[in-house]
Amino acid sequence: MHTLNNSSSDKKELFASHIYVEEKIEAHPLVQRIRERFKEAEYVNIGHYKDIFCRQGQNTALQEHQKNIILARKEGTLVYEGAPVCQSFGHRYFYYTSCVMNCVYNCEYCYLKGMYPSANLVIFVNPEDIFAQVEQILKEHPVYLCVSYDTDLLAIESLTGFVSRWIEFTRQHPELTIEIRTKCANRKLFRELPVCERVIYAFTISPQPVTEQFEMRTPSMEARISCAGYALEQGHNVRLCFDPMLYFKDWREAYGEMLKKIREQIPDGALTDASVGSFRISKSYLKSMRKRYPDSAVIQFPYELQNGYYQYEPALVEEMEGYLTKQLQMLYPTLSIFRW
Amino acid sequence: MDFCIITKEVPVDEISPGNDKKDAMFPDIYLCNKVTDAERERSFYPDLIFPHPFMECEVTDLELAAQYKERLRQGGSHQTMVLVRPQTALRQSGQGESPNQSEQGEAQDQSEQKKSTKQSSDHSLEQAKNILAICLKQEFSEPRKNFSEPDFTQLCEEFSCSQTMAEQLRQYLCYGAAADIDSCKILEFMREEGRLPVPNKREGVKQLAYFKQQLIG
Repeated sequence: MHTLNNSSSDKKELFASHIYVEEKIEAHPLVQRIRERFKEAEYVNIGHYKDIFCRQGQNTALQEHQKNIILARKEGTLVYEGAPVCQSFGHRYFYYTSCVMNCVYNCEYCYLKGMYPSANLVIFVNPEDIFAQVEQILKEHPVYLCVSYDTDLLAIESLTGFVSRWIEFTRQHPELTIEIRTKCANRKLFRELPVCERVIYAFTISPQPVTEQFEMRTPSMEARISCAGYALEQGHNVRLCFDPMLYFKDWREAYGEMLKKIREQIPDGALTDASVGSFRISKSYLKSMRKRYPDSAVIQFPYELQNGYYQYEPALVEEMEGYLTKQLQMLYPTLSIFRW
Repeated sequence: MDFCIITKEVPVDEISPGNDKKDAMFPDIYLCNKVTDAERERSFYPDLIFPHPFMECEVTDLELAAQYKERLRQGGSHQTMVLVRPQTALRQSGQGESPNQSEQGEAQDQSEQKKSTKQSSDHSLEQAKNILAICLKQEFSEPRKNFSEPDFTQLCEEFSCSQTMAEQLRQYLCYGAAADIDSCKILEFMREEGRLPVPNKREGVKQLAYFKQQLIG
């Protein structure tokens, strides 16, 4: 049984030594804002973001230590139907969108490492085009939209302002509900962002050993729990996501301890709901991740392949998810808990 | 990890310098963050994801772009680098003509000066290349080595592996290496217990599952 005492990814904080900008959006206000923020960065003009993002033979493990920024205009289909491995929380019309690709955090188990050929951050400067596509879908039926799947929008809110824009858009469209998934613990944001009843902040919470070992650059478990509690006090809707659950020595104690800490700060009845899910990932993504990260125990773990997705063996899945769900139910008798 | 550093002197108008860097080690040597083939409208972007003491630039040079593209086949964008020096620097550093010298003398002197200036600029580019190589080696370490193939083949025989079982076994060994678990010790223990080598494939499946369980706990 492996223990969480291996050193994994480097924790260096180098960020944006280079900013690559599509020539067609050079004059965009957001481009100017980001350039102002990263004055020391080298500024490189490009034709299309894929010229940088989709280069052959990139070393994403190295890029994680030095993420650069690519500024682009998103085109084509901008809103996608939700994936089967993702939780829809009972919503029939479940979609997701990405106005940013990749994340400032570096979680060792993250599917982004298998999905994208680069670790660089791509910021699309035209969320208004995404809004326009969402409006088209809203003409047909209500929409439940996850806007922060492939990134952590809250973590870069001071850079992009996208969360504010999504809140404003949601307020204007009563049939729209959005989820903003995050590991961010910036309380100031929750003091300043306007409250909207159809905006749900989904905090991913992991036990502290998991945070330390596998979730580089993220706030501590305590900080996230505290921030979630603060967001609730400010009137925001909060969901807690215990996903992915990871298997390691003493996992029961660690997850149990985590839940106790949460319960100390967040009362029953306060949360919108919660989700529980053990690690799972598509075959193609894990294949890519295993090739790129040979030294990662969590990526190299011998998962079982079931219906095109790698996951823990069924008995272990049931044991882990069952345990956490039961503990949650005991601490939060009125909470709706969704298992994937 | 192998690196390839291409160096070239190029006409000054092919260079678009980036940020001014007061502490740059070389005032007239640039590390390229973009190499463009203007004819084919194709650009390449070396991944400068490490600290370095050079000023950066974009360069538009057909020959360089072709060279870079060729070298990229052997290594990734983080392994293939381009250093350039403007040709005007070569001419400027060879200045100092005397108006009283004869034409022949002048031509001889200029030729000697150009030769020695070219030698010193080659020396500078070579120096820069060495320094860049040090930066790259310091930043990027070798990947971990896996289980050696001859041992793996023998192990597959001990487990009586089918192709599927061999893939599983390889993955277990990768995991053991990544998790710093002493797989060899577990395997040795299995041999001492008489679990290995197995008499048939059915027993091999059973012992492979046992090996996995010992690894993951």
